[in-house]
Amino acid sequence: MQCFRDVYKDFEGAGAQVLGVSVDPFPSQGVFAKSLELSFPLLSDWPRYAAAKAYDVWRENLNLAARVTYVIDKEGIIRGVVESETDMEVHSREALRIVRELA
Amino acid sequence: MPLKVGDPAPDFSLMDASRNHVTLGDFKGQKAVVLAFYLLAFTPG
Repeated sequence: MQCFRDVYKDFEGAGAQVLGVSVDPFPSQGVFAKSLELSFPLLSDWPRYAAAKAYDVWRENLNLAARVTYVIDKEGIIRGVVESETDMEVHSREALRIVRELA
Repeated sequence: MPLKVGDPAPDFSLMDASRNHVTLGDFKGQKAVVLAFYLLAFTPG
């Protein structure tokens, strides 16, 4: 999530809300958010993983959620899907590019 | 079915650190939403 924190103001400027979604329980997540001093909400999908399942990022066999970033326009339509397990910087960079196109 | 560009985004209800519910509908007509799923706390990225 550090990559999103670093460019959060750019998302804000483009009129977008960044939401981090974790499958972690509350205690560790609170520590996590605080430790990074994030300026956007980290939301919990624990314990039912309903959002991860609805967005098809839940990996049943691995019992974890894949790293996927969705860009949703203000009418509720998906405008971008960024998938990369290894390069997190690409998530914020691509998402910001798409958000700016929408703005 | 994987979601793709052009699909309607499923609504969600997630809890923030103060245990308030945040839904996609909260932003409709107002803001684009960047929904970033990540694995586990304290993983890089």
